[in-house]
This record gives sequence, C-alpha cells and structure tokens, in this order.
Amino acid sequence: MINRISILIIILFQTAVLSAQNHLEMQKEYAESLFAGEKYFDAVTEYKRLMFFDENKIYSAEAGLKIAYCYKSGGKFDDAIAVLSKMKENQQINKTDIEIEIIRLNILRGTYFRAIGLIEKLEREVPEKQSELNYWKGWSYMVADEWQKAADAFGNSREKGTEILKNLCISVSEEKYSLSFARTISYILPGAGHFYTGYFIEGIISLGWNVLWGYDVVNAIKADRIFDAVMVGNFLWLRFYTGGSQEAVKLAEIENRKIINEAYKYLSIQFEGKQP
Amino acid sequence: MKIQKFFLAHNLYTNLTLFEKINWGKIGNALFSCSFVLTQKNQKVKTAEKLSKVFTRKAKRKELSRFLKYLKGSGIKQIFFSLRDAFLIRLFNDNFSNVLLTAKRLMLKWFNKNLAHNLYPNLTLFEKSLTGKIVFSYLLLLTSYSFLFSQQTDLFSYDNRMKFGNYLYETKDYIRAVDEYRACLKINQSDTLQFKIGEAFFEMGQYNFASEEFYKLFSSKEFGYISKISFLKTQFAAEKYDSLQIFQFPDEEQEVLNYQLKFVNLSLMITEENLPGYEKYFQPFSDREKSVLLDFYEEKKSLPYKSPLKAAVFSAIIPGAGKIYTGDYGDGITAFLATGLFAFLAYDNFKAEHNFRAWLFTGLGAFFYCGNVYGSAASAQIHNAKVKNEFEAGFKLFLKNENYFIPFIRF
Repeated sequence: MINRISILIIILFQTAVLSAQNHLEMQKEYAESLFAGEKYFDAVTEYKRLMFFDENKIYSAEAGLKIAYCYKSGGKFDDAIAVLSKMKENQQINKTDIEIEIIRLNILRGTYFRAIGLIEKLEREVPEKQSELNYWKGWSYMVADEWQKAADAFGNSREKGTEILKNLCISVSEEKYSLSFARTISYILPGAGHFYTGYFIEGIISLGWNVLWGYDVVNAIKADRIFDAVMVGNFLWLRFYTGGSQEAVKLAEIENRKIINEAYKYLSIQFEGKQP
Repeated sequence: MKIQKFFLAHNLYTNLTLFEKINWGKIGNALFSCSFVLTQKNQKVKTAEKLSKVFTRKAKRKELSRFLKYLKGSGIKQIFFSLRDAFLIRLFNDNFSNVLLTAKRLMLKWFNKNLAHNLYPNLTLFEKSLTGKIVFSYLLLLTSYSFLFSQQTDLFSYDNRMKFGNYLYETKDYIRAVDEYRACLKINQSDTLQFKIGEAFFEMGQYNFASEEFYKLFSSKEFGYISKISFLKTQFAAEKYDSLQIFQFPDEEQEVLNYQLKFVNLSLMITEENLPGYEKYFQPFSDREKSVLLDFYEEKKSLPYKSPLKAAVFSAIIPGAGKIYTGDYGDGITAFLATGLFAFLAYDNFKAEHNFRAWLFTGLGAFFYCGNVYGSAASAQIHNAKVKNEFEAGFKLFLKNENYFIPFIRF
C-alpha cells in the first residue's frame, strides 16, 4: 500500500514539475511571439521574466540572447552590448560567438575602432575564426570609410558574399573623390576643384570671381592704391579664393557621401550575405 | 450455481470485461477461494472492510440501493460482501497501476471523449466506480497540489509579479518595474507598491508622475509621513520651488512641516542671491546636516560673480578690458586690437583728408567699440550663469547623494 501511495505521490510530483516546466515553456513561447511581432519592449520584459523564474537556468542563455537581439532591433546598441557582456560568463553559450555579436553591435553603433580592437584581440585568441573575423573587419572598415582596407580584409575572408563585398569596396574606393586633390587644385586654379567634382557652373562662377577680384587687386597695386589693394585683396579676393577651395572640398564630401550611400543602399536591400 | 444464477440474473455480468466474461468460471472459483482465504486472514478482511465502506459511501446511490434491495432477504448478502471484497483486493493487487495509468490518461485526454468512451466500457462495474473515484481523487489531489504550487508556476500571479517587479526595481529597470507593480495594484491595493511606483518615477526623473503617486499616499497610515516628505523631495527635484513654500498638507504634522522648511531653505541656495543669516537658515537642520551644508552656505555667500556694470565700464574706458575682467582674455585682446586698428585707420584717413574712408572707419570703430561694451556686460552675465550653474549642479548632486536628508527606506 505504501508503495502505491509512493507511486501516486511520484506521479503527482512529476505532474507538478512538468506543469512548472510547461509554464516556463509557455512563457518562452509568449516572449517569442512578442519578439516575432516586433514588440521589442514587451518581449524584453517577458524574456526577463522567463530568466527571473527560470531557477534552473534552462532558458537563461536563449532568453539573454533574445533580450540582446531585442535591444539590437530596437536600436539600443549600448544596452545590447551590456547584456551580451554579462552573458560572457554563461557556460551554455560560446564566448567567441558573444564576442562576435558584440563586434557586430560596435559596427552598427559606429564605434568601429572598438570593433577593430575586439577583432584583433579575437584574432590572437581564436585564430581558427580568422576568416569570419576578416569579414567583420571588412565591415568595420566600410563603416569607418576606409574602403580600400575593407576590400583587403574581405579579400582575406572565405565567408559567403565576400567577393561581392570586395568588388563593391574597390568600386567605392575608386569612385570616391580625393578631398586633398580637390583642395590642392582649387588652390592652383580657383574653380578646378569644382570641375573635378562635376560642379562646372559653380567652378566657372568661382573662377570668375577670383579673376575679377584678382584683376582689381593687381590694378590697384599698379595704380599705387595699396590700401585699396589690401582691402579688396583681403576682404574680397582672399575670401573667394579660400572659400572656393573650401567649397570644392565640401562638394567632394557631398559626392563621396552619395557614392557611399549608394553602396549602403545596395548592402541593405540587395546584399544577401551576413550583415552586422 | 444457484448463487451464480442470481448474480447472472442481476446485470452484474453485463458489466464485466470481455476477458472476465470468458474466464468467468475460473474467476468465480478464484473469487470464492479468495473470499474464503480473506475471511481467515483477519487483518486483510479488515482492510477489505474499510475499502468496502469507502466504496459503499462513494458508489452511485441509485445502483447501490437497487442492488441492495435485491439482495435484501435473499440470504446471499454475506457471500456478496465477500465477493465484493475479493474484487476489490484483486483490483488492488493486479490492476491498481493500470487503473492509475488509465486515470492519468483520461485526465490528460480529458477533452478526448472518444478515448474516454473506449476506455470506459472495458471496465467492470466496480472498476467503473473505482475508476471514477480514482480519477476524481487524482483530479482533486492534482488541483490541490497545483493550487499549492500555483504561486510558483503562474508567472503572472500577484506574488510572482511583485517578486519580478522587485527584481526589476533593484536592477534599475524602473519603467518595467512600474508596469509590474501597477499590475499587482489591480489585484490588491498596497501602499508599499504605490510608494515604490512613486520612487521609480522619481528615479526616472518623471517628477510629475512621482508627485501624483506620493500624493495618493498622504492618508496612508504606514506611508503617509514618508510619502509627504518624498512629495517635497519631488517638488524640489522638479524645481517647483514656489510650490514648496505654498503647499499645505492636509494635517499639520510638526515633522513634515520641519521638512518643508528644510526644503524651502535648500531651495534658497538656488533661487536667492543673498541667503538669510546663519541662525535663521540652519534652524530646521540637525547638527550633522548643518555641518555638511555649511560649506555650501559659505560658498554661496562668496561665489565669484562678476558685475556686468563693471565689465561695461571697463570696456568703455579701455576696449576689451571688460572681457579680460570676466576672464575672456582672447576676446578682450582681439577687441582691443580691432578697435585700436579702426581708430588708427580713421585717424590716419582724417589726417590724409580721405574723409569718406575716415568716416567709414570711424563708424566701424564705433560699432566695434559699442559692441565690445555690450559684449563685456553680456560676458559678465555668461560668466555669472556658469558660476551659478556649476554651484547648483554640485549642490543638487550633493543633495541627491544625501537623499535630500530623508531617511532611506528599506522594503
């Protein structure tokens, strides 16, 4: 009789344990449904609840990662990095994977020097991940506007889509205007920097103003009107001369931004490989 | 055989399983033997009797009364009881686990009527009754057990929400903590939770919401006092300094009024240029509070403000001197040189009788000069604002670290 009662108690106990387990499972499903519905704030709350009540830490790793993804999806990169940094101690998750996720988040939030620093650290610690690390190094350089370095990094990676990325980086690097070249040629010939960046009308106007005020200054010096020459030279000619050069650099930057934006547009819409 | 016929006459036979029907003869003999053995073994009979009593109580009244009516006066009552006991013993000996499993299956597939139907007809009358009893008992026990553990398994119960809310509060996730506490308040009113919501809003810098929460607790027996002080703290943090002075609490508790005076005096550090005398200012504060506030009191009295009037006059006498007075050395020297250059150019052109240029530079020089005088006064004001802001920021940080001289609440 005692044995039968024991059996009954065991069955009841197992049912209760299973019941508790089911509640956590249900909670996980609920959190996941919120995550899938892009309700990231609520999803974070429910994943946190799951982690809090999961005394045996069965779901803690998965829930922690999902919280980080929620923060990431919601654009809260700092919070995502903070969560992942805490999760490095979790034995259920590969520490390298966490580090790589942190690198990706650093790329996204624009702290690319930090990303490159972490990549270099991982390169020493996990040499077998070199290919993947080169891939993310390429992305870091892309965000850092170092397209040639990015192309080199992609060239050393065997990840999916690296060839496309490498060609894209080379293309952007070649298409981009040199700011120093635009500035220099504008100093040599006012308006040349405008021509270089494709702004021909602005270039002609800049050249015209410089010729006009230059002529006036020279004329004033010839006529021994030194004060006039200094005033016109300082307040007009010099303004147009330096202003024209500065504008050439600014226009080159605008054009470069357009080229980069086109590349980013391609990456976000058409590129099928891994993205940060 | 006579007895068997009586039994068969009764509908007991129809309630037997197919297996039992086939082996009825063998089972019948075994049962009689069993019954005989049982009567010899007193202890087991007692157990059987107890079980039979339980059975009798729990069996369906209608069937039992009909059956008993039939048995009454038939002379086979004693044999019937032995037989019934034997059935029960057999059931417990051989089929107990199966019955339990069946019960569990029934429960798990509670809504699967077809399965329940298929299982049910294969049981004997006794088994049917017993199965019902066991299923009922199982469900009853399970319900009780689940109820006992429900606080642990239902993650959205009051207790669990509160635990989770406390965890969020401790990890400074105040916005989620407020959500949890509010959900708890919907179930059960709690002054502690109400107060914690106020504190959470305060920590988030949502001072208006915090004030509302504290205000609700003014009449609370447990939290009335602390919520009034926290309300004052919130008003101070929200820079509603006028409200601190004019707010009237429903009841005039001396300690609360003393705190109100404290906050009013603390606000004077921010709003007033000249503080009251030492005695008057420190009257509501304790000795410890006085000692830590004294530095700020002295600093406030000797803040390195610059007079805008002086700065303007200095610049009027020597262009740029006002800016140098306010510590803006670069601008001061530039203003001096620019005004001096224009003055020289104007003078030189007047001397060379280039009147147009002379007047042009005079105008420019005058413009620079006036601008510098005005700029010096503005520079003094900017300097004063910087000094004031730095002092206020330091003072507010100090008060925050001191929790506004309010005792810390441990929940």
